[in-house]
Amino acid sequence: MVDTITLIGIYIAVFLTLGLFTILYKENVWFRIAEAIYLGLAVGYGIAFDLKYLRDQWNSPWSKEPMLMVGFALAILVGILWYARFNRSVFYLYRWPLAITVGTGIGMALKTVIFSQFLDQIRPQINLNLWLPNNPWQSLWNILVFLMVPSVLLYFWFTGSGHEWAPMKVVDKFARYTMMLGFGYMFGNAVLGRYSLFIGRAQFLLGITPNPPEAQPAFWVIAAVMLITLIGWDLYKRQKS
Amino acid sequence: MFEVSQINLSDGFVAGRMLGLVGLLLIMLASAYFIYMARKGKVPKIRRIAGIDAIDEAIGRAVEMGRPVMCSHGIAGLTEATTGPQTIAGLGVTAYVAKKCVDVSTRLMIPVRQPNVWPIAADIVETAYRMAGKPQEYKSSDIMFLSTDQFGFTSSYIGILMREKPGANIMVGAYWAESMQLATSGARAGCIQIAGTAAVAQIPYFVLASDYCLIGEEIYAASAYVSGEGEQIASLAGQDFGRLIAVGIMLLGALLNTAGIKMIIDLWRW
Repeated sequence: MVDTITLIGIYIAVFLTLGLFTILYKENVWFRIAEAIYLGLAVGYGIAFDLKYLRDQWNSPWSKEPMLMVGFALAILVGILWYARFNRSVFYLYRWPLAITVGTGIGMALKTVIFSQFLDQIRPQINLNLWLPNNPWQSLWNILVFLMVPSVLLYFWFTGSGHEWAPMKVVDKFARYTMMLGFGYMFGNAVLGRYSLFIGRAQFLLGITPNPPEAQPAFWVIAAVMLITLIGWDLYKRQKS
Repeated sequence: MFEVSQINLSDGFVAGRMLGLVGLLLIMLASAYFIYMARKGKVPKIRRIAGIDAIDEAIGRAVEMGRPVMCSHGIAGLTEATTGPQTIAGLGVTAYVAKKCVDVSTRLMIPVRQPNVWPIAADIVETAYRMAGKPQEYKSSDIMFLSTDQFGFTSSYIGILMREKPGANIMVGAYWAESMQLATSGARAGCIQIAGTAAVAQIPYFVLASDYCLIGEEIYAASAYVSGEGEQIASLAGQDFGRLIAVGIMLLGALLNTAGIKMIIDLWRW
């Protein structure tokens, strides 16, 4: 038997789960309640998390030396400039922290992107061996990869008139088939993942171990209330009209 | 990460990273060259992208139905290496959609997840209203900050789709697991949908549930395409230059490797 606070938590969890699921029927008051609670909690949690992060930062290296303290104060000042957006006379000041954030981010990303998004993608391709006499299936696979990857890359060739060249139509078609194969695989894979999530949630609602068994009665009660009110409200509106 | 032993102190270079520097410089120089040429009036031609052409059709349909337009630039921030550019591309499309919506006096709603992207989205829409001489019609409440929480944002986006029933739902940017919920909810709400992302794992959902889909890098081209700005198109030409080099190296490298020549592979150790 769980304590009262935990029991309340279970009922809230069941209510929010079912409340969000009711959107599958139609937009309704239960969904709105669950949505508002979710949004409110997320915003509140976000603010608390950010404030804690700020405090932890101050408590770690920044409060140890005078120069670092100045740096921290400057960072806070730059951060405050974001709020200039809300004052019409100085709204342009928000562009300074924006420029600093984006510039720093892109600058830091640039040194790794050329490897992760470019060279590291080319490397497996140049290591392909198209002729393996003892392994024809692997050879066939390597030849397919040899053709598929460049064709997909060429599909995204946007500028110039090279794309109007007749052989490019064949390349485009081959690239489209390649991409559809990939998308099909990814879609199937992800749908299975989503089923797994749904099964996990259903197990919670039915109180199947290791989930708390108290969730099952909560599920039946709340589901019944939601169903009766949703269908009842619809019937009432239909009769009225 | 590289090992300390890789550093050759005599010349200050790190083994295995020179090719990255050369590649980066080549693509940057190519982009700079194309931008220079575009400034002189020689703007590269850009091919048609059906999904982007459909934006006007989608807005037109929303106007006919008397419904608002919903336009999202994704859920990522601006600074991440792979998702930041997607957000910027999404904001480029947002600017175009805002201009079109202002022209036909249709309400435009923009759901925002990242607090630091909100002022930019608001700025873009407000500028569109000012440029059209209708600043009084701008409503900052339509640029809606929903939640930084991924699924808090998603549940609210779905709620808005179902309540407001927009005529068009345009989603271009970085999306993760919420892509399927958003796209299927938009379809249920009866929107004409144009969706695009470079997040490869999410493209299948957009292909499945949207009327038009921008696949992968098409979203980067979208911004240049809709703006028609020479410098943006020139920057795209710089990327295409990098792409053609990559294709050339891939084909040549694999053929040489099959022939037992490791010349290209050895470049990666440079």
